[in-house]
Amino acid sequence: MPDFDPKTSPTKAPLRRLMAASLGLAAVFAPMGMNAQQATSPSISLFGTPGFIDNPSGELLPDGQIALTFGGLGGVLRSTATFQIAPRLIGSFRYAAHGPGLWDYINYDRSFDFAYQVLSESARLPSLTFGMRDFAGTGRYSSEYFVATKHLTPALTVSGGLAWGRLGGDTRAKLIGGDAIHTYKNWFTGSLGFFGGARWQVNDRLAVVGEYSNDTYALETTDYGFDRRSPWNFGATYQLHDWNLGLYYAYGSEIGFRATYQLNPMTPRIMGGRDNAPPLVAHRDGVVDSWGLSWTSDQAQLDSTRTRLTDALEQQGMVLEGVTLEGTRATIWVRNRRFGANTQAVGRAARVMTQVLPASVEVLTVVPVVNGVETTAVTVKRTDMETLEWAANGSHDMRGRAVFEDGIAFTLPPQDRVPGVYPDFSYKFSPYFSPSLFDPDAPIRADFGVQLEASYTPRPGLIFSGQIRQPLVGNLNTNTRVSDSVLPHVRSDAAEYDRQTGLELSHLTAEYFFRPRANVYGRVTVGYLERMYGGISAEVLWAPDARKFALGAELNYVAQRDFDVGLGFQDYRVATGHVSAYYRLNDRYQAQIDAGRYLAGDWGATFRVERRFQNDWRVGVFATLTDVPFDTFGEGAFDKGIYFNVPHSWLTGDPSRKGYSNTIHVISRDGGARLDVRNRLYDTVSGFEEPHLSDRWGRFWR
Amino acid sequence: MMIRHLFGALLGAVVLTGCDAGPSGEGTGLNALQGKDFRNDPRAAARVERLAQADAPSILFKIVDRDVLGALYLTQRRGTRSIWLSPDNSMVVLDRGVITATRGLGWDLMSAEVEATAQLIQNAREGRARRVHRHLDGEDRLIARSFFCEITTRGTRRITYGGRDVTTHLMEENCAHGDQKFRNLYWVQSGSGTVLQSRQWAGDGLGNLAIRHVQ
Repeated sequence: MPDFDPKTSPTKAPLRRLMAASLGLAAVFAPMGMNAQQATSPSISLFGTPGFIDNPSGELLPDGQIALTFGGLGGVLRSTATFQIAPRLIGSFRYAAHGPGLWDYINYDRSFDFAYQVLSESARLPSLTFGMRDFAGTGRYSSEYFVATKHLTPALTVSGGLAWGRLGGDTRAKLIGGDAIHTYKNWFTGSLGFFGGARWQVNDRLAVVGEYSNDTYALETTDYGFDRRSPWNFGATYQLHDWNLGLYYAYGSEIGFRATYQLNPMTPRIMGGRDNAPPLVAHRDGVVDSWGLSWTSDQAQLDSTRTRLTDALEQQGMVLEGVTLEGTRATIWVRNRRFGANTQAVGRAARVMTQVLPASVEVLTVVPVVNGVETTAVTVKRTDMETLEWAANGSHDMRGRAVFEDGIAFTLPPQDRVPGVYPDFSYKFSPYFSPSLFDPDAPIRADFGVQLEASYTPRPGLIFSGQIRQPLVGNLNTNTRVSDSVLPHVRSDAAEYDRQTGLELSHLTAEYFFRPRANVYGRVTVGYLERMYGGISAEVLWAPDARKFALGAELNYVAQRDFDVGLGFQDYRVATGHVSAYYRLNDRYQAQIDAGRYLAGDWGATFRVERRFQNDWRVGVFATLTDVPFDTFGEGAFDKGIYFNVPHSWLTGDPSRKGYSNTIHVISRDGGARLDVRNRLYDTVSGFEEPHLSDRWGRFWR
Repeated sequence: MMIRHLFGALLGAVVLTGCDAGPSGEGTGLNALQGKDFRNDPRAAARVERLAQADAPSILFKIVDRDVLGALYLTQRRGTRSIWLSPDNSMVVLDRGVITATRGLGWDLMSAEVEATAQLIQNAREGRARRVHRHLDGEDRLIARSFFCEITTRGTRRITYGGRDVTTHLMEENCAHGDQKFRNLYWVQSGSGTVLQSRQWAGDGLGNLAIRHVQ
């Protein structure tokens, strides 16, 4: 029904007050039922994967879904992040603690799982899924299984499977303890056992689960007296807002609990963001006085145009670096500091041009500048801007008419540079939080402190910058671990750095970015490159326009820094470098191979595969194999792990170019360790090039 | 010790909340880090204030589900399209009174094809119309959804407009796309065909928008 009472009409006066009060239409955003689908999603087990209590089922989560689960029973606590990598493929990372009492643990353990649904459920047949639990850790939970799952009715799900390893009742106890390494040789060994479960969805929120578990908990029984009396487990799960909660009675003696939070990278807090409205395209019809070209020789008008452009672009979070006016065409060089989608910045910059430039200008070119170098230039016709701004299919049509060209053809002429942009000095004082996760002795250590960053850019592409940090509170320095690595201690002395440092110089560098030729970007960095190394780093990236691949090469000569992270160096010196290939498999997956020499002087290659969401969410896995033998490497055999990036704008709905990212190594040691230099080229420029521009073209008119 | 283990308990959450800004952060300009509140836009407010001073036409606008109410002023009119701006820089675009786009509200309607609807509404005629809405999905792709609509009249209603009683035709538009249904209402001034008041659906995220022309 109508929301206004049609009998009353507000007068102007209260309306003004209303406006003055500025209620702000965008200030209030209703919380969205982001996870409405969860009620019908599979229940999550104590292992954080689709399943019942301890047992997995063969069910899947929605594509891209991430489930964060925390739960435990009988002296076991497990934290798991599960990711629906592809529609049929699930992966999990888990950190578990085991011990005799609540909060009293004697062992911490990391594990990885995956599961692949081989056959989908049909009207008559169940789905069939193959999975491996803990396939790459210590092997404490290692199992390989097939499981079949069927929804007998929409509310009733049953599942049964066969497993090798722990799920099948056979603990690979010989794997545990000491420096034993779980490898593929242990897969599919031992006897097969049965496991199964059922779930009844009572209503939208409540479900009842039961299962038959063959897990003997032999290790936990030996280690601290886990009391297993029965294979039968029961429980109930309840959906409370965004959380799914579980309460269980398991193994005839234990009470268990679980909490799961699900999110999906494809579901940001606010679709399309809460970015303010864009500038409007100014139309030229009716404006006749500036159709002539006399203005091109009028210096005062040129200056005023430049000032107005600078001003209007600043309102859009952009810095105007230069402008060239040529009668019927205009080119602007802009630095986008606000929008995660470069397409959106280009769209807004082009609209600003229509507001400011004389009517004779028909061809508008926007050249985004990153670290002082020109990236892919986008050229649009002003007439198209005028006609397509609000057109039903305006975004698609605009994409069809826009022209992309390598920025090297649009080198900013010195005389067209906006005066005062360089030199540029800026600094920032801010708090920081630096955690160290999943150490075998303590699950988390962290420091809180303050940091000062400063940068000085005397001319485009040349950047002097540094950062100092002072921890205020924290316990990073309580790590007493001493490296037993037989390789040069290129990373394994991290604890020594934490212990010895106070006020630290995180980095202090001179960077130079340049474009040596078409499709090629270059970088040279000199100074204290990262916390543990200083020296020189040089990189080139060849990124052919609108292709799926890019190639890069990086060469570094570095010295290990002193443990106090000050100005001094230790004796260790190494030449390290890689040749990198980046390949976009499709609009969802990207692969990367870096082959070369690592910090310890070992030779090898790093393989990465990541799910790259177009909003810049990334979740990936990597593994590094080098000529260091597995037993020389030590625990873990080789370096591997997961990494992710969460864009700020996804979390907040506000436009931002920043994100949270982290890399979790299964075990961080000295083999396959890479220099951690800032501003590597691919991540810096790829978002400004095709195909990423087209990927997010929907933002052009946003 | 207790504290340490309590920390352990929070691991699951920490996995995804950790750490330093990553490579997607801007490389050079630390200015970028100093970020102002981009929504706090004094220029938009000043512009709207000027529009208000100049007695520009205005609408009262309400996002029904969020229970948020605001005043928008006419900032541009081209052909049958009018663009309305709020002091905090949100925007609504109407074509003959039918919403064709929003900006700055979140879950924005990026564009809408409403030609058939607008013609029927303007003439207070019954009939069928197809409309297409486009929204950005979570990965910045434009998703188009087309609706089949039936437009009917619910007779005349008297409403107050500009201090006078005016006669309007109340038009109802019922649209469906699969399971999704919505209903729009338009109060169309007799004679002029102007939509004086309406309640229109603008998508899953925005829900219903209520609009009332003030003068």
